[in-house]
Amino acid sequence: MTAAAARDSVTRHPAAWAVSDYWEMAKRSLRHIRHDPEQLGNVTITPVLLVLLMRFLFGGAINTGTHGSYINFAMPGIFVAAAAFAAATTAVSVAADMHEGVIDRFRTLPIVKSAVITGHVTADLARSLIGLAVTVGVGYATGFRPSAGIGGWAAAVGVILLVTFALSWLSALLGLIGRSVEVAQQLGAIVVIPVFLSSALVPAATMPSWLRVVTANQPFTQAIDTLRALLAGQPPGSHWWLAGLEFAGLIAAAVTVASALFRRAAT
Amino acid sequence: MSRSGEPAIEVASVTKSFGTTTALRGVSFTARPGAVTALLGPNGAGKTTMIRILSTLLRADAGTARVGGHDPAREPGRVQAIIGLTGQSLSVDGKLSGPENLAMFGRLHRLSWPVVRERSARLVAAFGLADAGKKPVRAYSGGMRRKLDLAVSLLAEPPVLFLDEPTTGLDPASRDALWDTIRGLVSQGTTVLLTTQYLTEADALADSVVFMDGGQVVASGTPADLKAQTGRAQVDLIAASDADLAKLTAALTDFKPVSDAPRRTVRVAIEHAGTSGVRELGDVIAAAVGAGAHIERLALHEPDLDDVYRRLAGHARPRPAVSAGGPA
Ligand SMILES: Nc1ncnc2c1ncn2[C@@H]1O[C@H](COP(=O)(O)OP(=O)(O)OP(=O)(O)O)[C@@H](O)[C@H]1O
Ligand SMILES: [Mg+2]
Repeated sequence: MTAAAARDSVTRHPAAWAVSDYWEMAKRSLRHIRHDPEQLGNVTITPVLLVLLMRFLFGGAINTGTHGSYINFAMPGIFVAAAAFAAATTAVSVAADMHEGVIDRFRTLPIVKSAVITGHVTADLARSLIGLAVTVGVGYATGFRPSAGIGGWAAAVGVILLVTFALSWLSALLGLIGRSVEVAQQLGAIVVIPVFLSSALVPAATMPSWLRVVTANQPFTQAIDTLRALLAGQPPGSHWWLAGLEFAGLIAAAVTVASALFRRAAT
Repeated sequence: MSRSGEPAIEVASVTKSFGTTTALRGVSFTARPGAVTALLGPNGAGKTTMIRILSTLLRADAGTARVGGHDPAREPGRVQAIIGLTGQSLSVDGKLSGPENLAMFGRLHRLSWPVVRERSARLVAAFGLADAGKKPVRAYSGGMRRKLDLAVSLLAEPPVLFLDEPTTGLDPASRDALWDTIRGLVSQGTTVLLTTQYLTEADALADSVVFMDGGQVVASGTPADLKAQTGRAQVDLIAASDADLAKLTAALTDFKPVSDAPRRTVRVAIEHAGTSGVRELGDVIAAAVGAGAHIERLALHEPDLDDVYRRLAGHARPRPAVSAGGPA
C-alpha cells in the first residue's frame, strides 16, 4: 500500500521544505523572545554592567600598554562576552524542549529534525545582535572611540556572529546532555567561562607564562584580537584566520555531536 | 489513501521492555483503513507504548509494525508523512499562542498558507478556542490546552491519526465536537487508532476494539461481537409492590441478583450468547413464576462494553513485572 501524504500537503523540493522548516523554527524561537522579553536581560544588563565596571572601576588600574585607553581595549572582550551570554540561553531552550511534550510532536513531524536546534541558534544570533547594539551604545556614552570604518565594523559584526554561532551549538550540546532544565542552565554557563580566560579584559602579556600559553592560543583570544584590530582600523594579521579556523573546528565538532545526541535521544 | 483492503496498521508479535518492566509481550492486531480502531485496557496495559512505537517515538524490541505499509523504525520519514499524533501528554508549544501554534505546525506539516488559515479557523470555531485568543498556551486552562493539542493534530488531516485518550479533560460540548470531527475525517478515508478509558466513546466511535491487559491483547473484534462473546445480558424483573419484591428476591437468590438494581427491581445476569443463555433465562423465569409474586414488567438488557471490560480487565496473566528498583 502506498499512502499519500497528509491531505492538501504541498509537494516541493525537499531542500525548499528544509529551508521552510528552518525558517518556521527560527520564527518560533524569535517569538519566544517577544513573549518573554526577560530573556534579553542576560545579553543586555550583563554587558552594560561589564562596560561600567571596566570603565570606572578597573579602568584606571589596568595598564594596557600599547592599546590606548582601557575602554577601547576592553570593549571587544565585552562584545564577545555578550555573545557568550546570548548563546548560554540555548542550553536552557533546548533542554526545555527535550523535557516537554512538544518534542514528541516535533519528532513525529516530517521535518528536518535539526531545525529544532537551529531555531534556537537563530534566536541566539538575534539576541547577540541586540546585546551588541546596547553594549556599543553604552560604550560610546562612556568614551569608547573605535577608529574602524563601515568595512571594519561589518567584519567585526561578522566575527561576533561567528563566535555566537559556535557557542550556540556548544550550548545546544550542553542542553542535550543536561538531565533537567536546571542542570542545563548550569552547564550553559560553561560557554561563558573561556571568554574570561582570554585576553578579553586583560592583555595576555600581563599574565604569568603558564597561563599565557593557554590564553594566547585559545579561540576567544584570537577572535578578540581580530576584533581589536578591526575596530582600531588595523589589519588583523594572523588572528583572523586562526580565529576562523578554530571556530570552524568548534562548529563542526559541536554540530556533529549535538546532532548525534539529538538523534539518539529520539529512540 | 489506498482502500485496497490491506490494513492501514499492522502489528505482529511486538514486544517492548523498559529495563525490567515489560510493557508489551507479543502484541498483534490490525486496523482497517478508513475505520476507527480503539485500544482499550486498564492503566499500564501498554496502550501508550504501542502508539509511541507506531508513531516512530519508540523502537520495538522485537516483532513487526507497519503503518501505511511502512516500518516506523526503518522508514520513520515515510511514516511521519502520513500520521498525526495527539499524545497522552500535551505536545504544543506553551510559550506560543494558540494561533501561532496552529500556524507553525500547519507549515511544518507542509500545508499551504491558505489551507492552514482555512482549517485553523474551522477548528478554532469547532472547539470554541477563539476566546483564548493570543495568550501563551501555558496560560490556557487544561481543557483548552487539550483542545488546541487536538486541533493541531487534526489540522493536517493525515491519513492515519493516533489519538491517545483524546477526550480526557474535555467538556461534553467539546467532546461532541471532537467525535463529529473524527467521524467526518473517517468518512473521508482517515484511519484512526485511539485509546480511551471511556467505553461509551469506544462504543460511539469504534468500528473495532482491541482489548489489552498486561502488555497483551486479550480480546478483539467489533464492539457487537465482543459484547456477544464476553458480555452478560441482564434480566430485570420489576415487582408490583415491596412485598412482591421480597418474595421475588427470596426466590431468585440462587441466581445472585446484583445489589445496585433500580427500585423494586431484581436484576440477574445471564449468559448472553448461545442456547445456554436461553436456558438460563428459562430458569430465571420459572423461578420468578414459582415465587407467586405479582410482576409488573420484565426487561432484558444487552451487555455493554463496560460489562466486557469488567470481564476482561485483570483476567490476563502475567501482570507486567515491576521491579522494586524502578525503571532504568
Ligand atoms: N519510559 C518508560 N520507562 C519505564 N517504564 C515505562 C515507560 N513507559 C511506560 N512504561 C511502563 O510500561 C507499562 C505500560 O505503560 P503504558 O503507558 O503503555 O500504559 P497505558 O496502557 O498507556 O496506561 P494508561 O491507561 O495509564 O495510559 C507500564 O507498566 C509503565 O510503567
Ligand atoms: Mg496511556
